[in-house]
Amino acid sequence: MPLSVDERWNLIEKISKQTVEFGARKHTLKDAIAELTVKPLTGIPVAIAVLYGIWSFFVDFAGTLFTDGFMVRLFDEHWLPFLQNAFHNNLDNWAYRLFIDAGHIENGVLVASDNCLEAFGVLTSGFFVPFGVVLWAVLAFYLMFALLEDVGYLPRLAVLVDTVLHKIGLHGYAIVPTFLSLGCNVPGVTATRALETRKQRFLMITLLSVFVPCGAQIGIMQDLVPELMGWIFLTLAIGYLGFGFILNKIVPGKSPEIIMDVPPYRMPMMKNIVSKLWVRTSRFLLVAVPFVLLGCLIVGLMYLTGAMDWLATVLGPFLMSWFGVPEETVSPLIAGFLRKDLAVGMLGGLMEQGIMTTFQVFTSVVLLCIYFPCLATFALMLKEENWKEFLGSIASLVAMVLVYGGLIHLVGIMLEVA
Amino acid sequence: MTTTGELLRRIEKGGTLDELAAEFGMGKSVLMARIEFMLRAGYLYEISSREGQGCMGCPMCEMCSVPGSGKMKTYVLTEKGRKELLKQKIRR
Repeated sequence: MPLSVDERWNLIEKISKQTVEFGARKHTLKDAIAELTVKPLTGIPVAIAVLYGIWSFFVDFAGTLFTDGFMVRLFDEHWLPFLQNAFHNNLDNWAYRLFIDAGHIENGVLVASDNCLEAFGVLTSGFFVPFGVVLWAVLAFYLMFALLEDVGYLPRLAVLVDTVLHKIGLHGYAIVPTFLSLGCNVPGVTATRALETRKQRFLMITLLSVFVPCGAQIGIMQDLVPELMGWIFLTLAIGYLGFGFILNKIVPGKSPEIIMDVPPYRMPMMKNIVSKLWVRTSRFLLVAVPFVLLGCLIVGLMYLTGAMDWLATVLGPFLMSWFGVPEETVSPLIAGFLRKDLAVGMLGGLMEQGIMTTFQVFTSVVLLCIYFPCLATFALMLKEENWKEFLGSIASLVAMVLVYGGLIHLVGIMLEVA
Repeated sequence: MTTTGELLRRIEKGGTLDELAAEFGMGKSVLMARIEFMLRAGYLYEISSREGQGCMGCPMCEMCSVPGSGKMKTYVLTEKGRKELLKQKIRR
């Protein structure tokens, strides 16, 4: 009588047990570390320590060492004064205001800026944002990411967060696009291709484009409002999980479970790290620099033609009543369509002029993170999703911004800080 | 329920291959052989094996840790696998 499939398997197992001799397997240090990083009891503290380590490196390497230590000095003490002197500080000339220094009003008088972040010219802020701040932040982040990837820690992190991510219709591997998006949303959106169903891809792309700030944005936020970073990340994490949970309930489709094979830990290879770092950073610069320069140009032109004032007058009452932010936030919001890092940088100018309270700064930064993906991510969403999904993403995005932005304002009113 | 059915039921819940091997008291090599069989029988599919789909065309593919790059293997139940599981559940 022929054997069934399972009977055959059982026979195979029986024969292999009788004929194959298995030597005692040694539990190596690598195995012990692998187990420690996967089991929740020890894995979660390890994950927290790893993330804290990444953050410390990010702040010290990108923020303190390069941006504050070298770049701020280079741009503010040398580059800006050089351009101002070369062009005779001519604030009456529109081209000078567009390309070098837009100046700002102090006691009713237009005065020259003393730093590149406030100058807002194409050749000053336009270069300072990508090369002075963002480049180092992105470099630090991608270096850490490449190390974690090559060591083999990411799959373990995926196993650890699997249970939480299932609550929002995703599985553990969704941590990879999320993590990648912390560098730049563009590869993060591309990485969603590895998710199983259209529903999972839709959920992931929508959540990434709203609640995951890119390295450029994080870098400039850390430079401007370091004391608010914890609150900003907490607010974004609550939004990511909260709206993920709601979207999972209302979006039709399946979110199947997967079984994964976790690879062993290994030594990272220098060649791999360097080439990953080079490819990712150079791609980032190719996308970022033209958009930052274009953003400076468009915002500068809108100021010069009076279009920005008109928009501020039209949108100001809504921004003030619903989100609790001043009408001056309109210009960063417009710049944010092109580059979020540039937009956050513009908030820095408003802060220095004393236009905003701390809570308004916090709300504005969160709003800038969630209100719209940058142009490059937006274009990729168009490519990766079909029309129905794309419109769904945009509708969810608008609803999330209005609800969450309003909610933050409401919490501020209740706490009497708004 | 047969061992294949039990395995399909467990795979439906998700997890890692190491957990699965420990729960079923199998060596990982035996489990991998059974996974291979279930792949060929059409009960499972390997996410990284879908040529021409996903992000496998990416120039960073060789260096990438995303599942589609083929470095981290992930398996999911197919419709056929689900039907087989249901059949075995009813039979039980």
